[in-house]
Amino acid sequence: MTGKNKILVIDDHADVLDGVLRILEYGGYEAEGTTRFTHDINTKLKTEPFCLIILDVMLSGSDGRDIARQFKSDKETKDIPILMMSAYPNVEGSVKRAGAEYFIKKPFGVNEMISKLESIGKGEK
Amino acid sequence: MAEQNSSKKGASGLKQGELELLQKMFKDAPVFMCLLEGPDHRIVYKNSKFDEIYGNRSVSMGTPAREAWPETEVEDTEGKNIFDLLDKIYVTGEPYVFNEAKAYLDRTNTGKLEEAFFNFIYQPLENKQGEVYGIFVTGYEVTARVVSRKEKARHERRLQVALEGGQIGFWEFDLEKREFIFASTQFKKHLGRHPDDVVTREQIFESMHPDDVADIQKKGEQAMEDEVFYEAEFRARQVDESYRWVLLRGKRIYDSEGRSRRIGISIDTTRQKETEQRLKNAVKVRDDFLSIASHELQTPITSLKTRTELLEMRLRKDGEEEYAAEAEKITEQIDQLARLSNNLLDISRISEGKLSLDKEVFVMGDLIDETAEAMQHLSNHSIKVNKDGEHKVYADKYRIGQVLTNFISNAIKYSPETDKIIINTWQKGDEVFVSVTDFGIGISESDQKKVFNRFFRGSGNVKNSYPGIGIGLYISAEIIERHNGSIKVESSNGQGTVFTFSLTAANLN
Repeated sequence: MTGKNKILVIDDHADVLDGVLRILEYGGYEAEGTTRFTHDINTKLKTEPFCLIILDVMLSGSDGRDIARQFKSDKETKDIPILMMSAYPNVEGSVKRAGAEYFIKKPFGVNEMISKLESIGKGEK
Repeated sequence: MAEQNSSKKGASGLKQGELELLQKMFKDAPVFMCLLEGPDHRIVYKNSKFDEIYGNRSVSMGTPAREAWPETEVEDTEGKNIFDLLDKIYVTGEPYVFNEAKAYLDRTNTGKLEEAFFNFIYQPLENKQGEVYGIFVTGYEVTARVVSRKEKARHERRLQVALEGGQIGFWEFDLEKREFIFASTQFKKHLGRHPDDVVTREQIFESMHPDDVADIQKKGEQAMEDEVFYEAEFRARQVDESYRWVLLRGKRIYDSEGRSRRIGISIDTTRQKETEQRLKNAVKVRDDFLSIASHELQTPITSLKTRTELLEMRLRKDGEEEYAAEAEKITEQIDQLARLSNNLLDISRISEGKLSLDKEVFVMGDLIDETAEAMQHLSNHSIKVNKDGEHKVYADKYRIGQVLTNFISNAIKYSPETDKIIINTWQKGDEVFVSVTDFGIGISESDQKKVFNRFFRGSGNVKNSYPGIGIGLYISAEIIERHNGSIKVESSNGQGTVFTFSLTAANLN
């Protein structure tokens, strides 16, 4: 992951978001997080070199799958892979249909997340 | 009979020849007859039917009635003794008619009085001078008829009291004319009608809750066809505009002319319905609570797990092995908490019918390897996998993995004294089997039957120290059932346990 090497994390629970960021930091990834998806974030995605979006399914006030669809329908963001996370294991199908390439079930451990990121880095699904 | 004692010519003026003629004519008449003469009612004539009443007792002609049948008691005699009544009739010349009069007679000549019923008449006889000289007794016995009618009345009364006591309505419906032949007061009350109202089919539909009409109409049409038994439950509008639940049950019968009718009862089932509804609501509240609570738990669990793992790593990096081990223990418990919370979530999904499957084709052996490897990290048991081929199935990989994880974690928990767990997979016909074998404490035969029940807990102290066992197996059984597969357990106490499931093979793909 050179050149484009930043990861954007979107989760409305600040504490969970912080935990994910710390895992990424531990794994040696550069990451940024937000609890709300805003216009500014969208602009940032298009201008800065992000290589992955980690997105929660159940966000307060919106559905992460809708945001995933939005990314995938915009030519400037459609090539950034998306990893969605949820406590509901049975949303994996709908997550993939929304365009996200990867899914991880909450709760996950540090090693689980790191090995997921490694497999994404290798292009595995 | 000592008929030779009869006088040649009595007060009646009947000649011997006339009496003989009378005897001949009425000897075998179907009614009883007896002629009493004089103020002391001496017997002048009686036929065989009359003798039968008194058990063919031997009585001489000329004997006064009081002496011949002294025990006789009859009701409906204006409070008089029957013989005093005869005296009165003899004096007044007024005939006396008995209708279903109850009498007590010694019919077997044993001194025992028996109850019997008669229709009969005391007819005074007058001579040419208009003087009463005798009384003619004639009538017939109606005991059988009265007893049967009384029995029927008693039966009807019993039924009526039972229906009233049970607040059960009663109705009869002509299926051809489509109208009620009979409707009891209670039935009308159930329908919110006045006792004087005439009940019609149209009215019932008119006062029925709108939501119930279509269903009941459909049911009625079906029942018209050929069903013998009929059952319908609906809400009927009452006088105060409230609705009460009414259950109708009936049976089709055919009358002597072959016309079809339906006879049935009605019951107020409002209380039952309310209880059912309360129960349904309670179950829904419980499931909603389970669903929300267990989902809400996921967020803090996720955060906790991340933090303790990071903490453990940091401690290990800093050489704080002892503390790192503590942190690891915490993580293990968090994992356990996460599993329990997931199980609760699954339970609520199952009871709401929301356990959906996301099926794909995969190789069963690969899933077994992945799962066994993950479980191996958590246990000192040696988990051995035997595969006899690359068996493909079309199933929800995540859910089947959950079943496998459950089987393996049970095997680990239930074999604390041994260290081997064997997983076998094989195909037979178009079914792929997976079994997990341990050599632990086993499950008693009685518990084996209940082990897939919701919230089952093993019956020993040792087993009770493993919470959530029943939930996991219940969910596993549900998952396998949704796949139309089979699941079973074989075990003997102290010998170990084999859990097996099977799924349809996806060889055709």
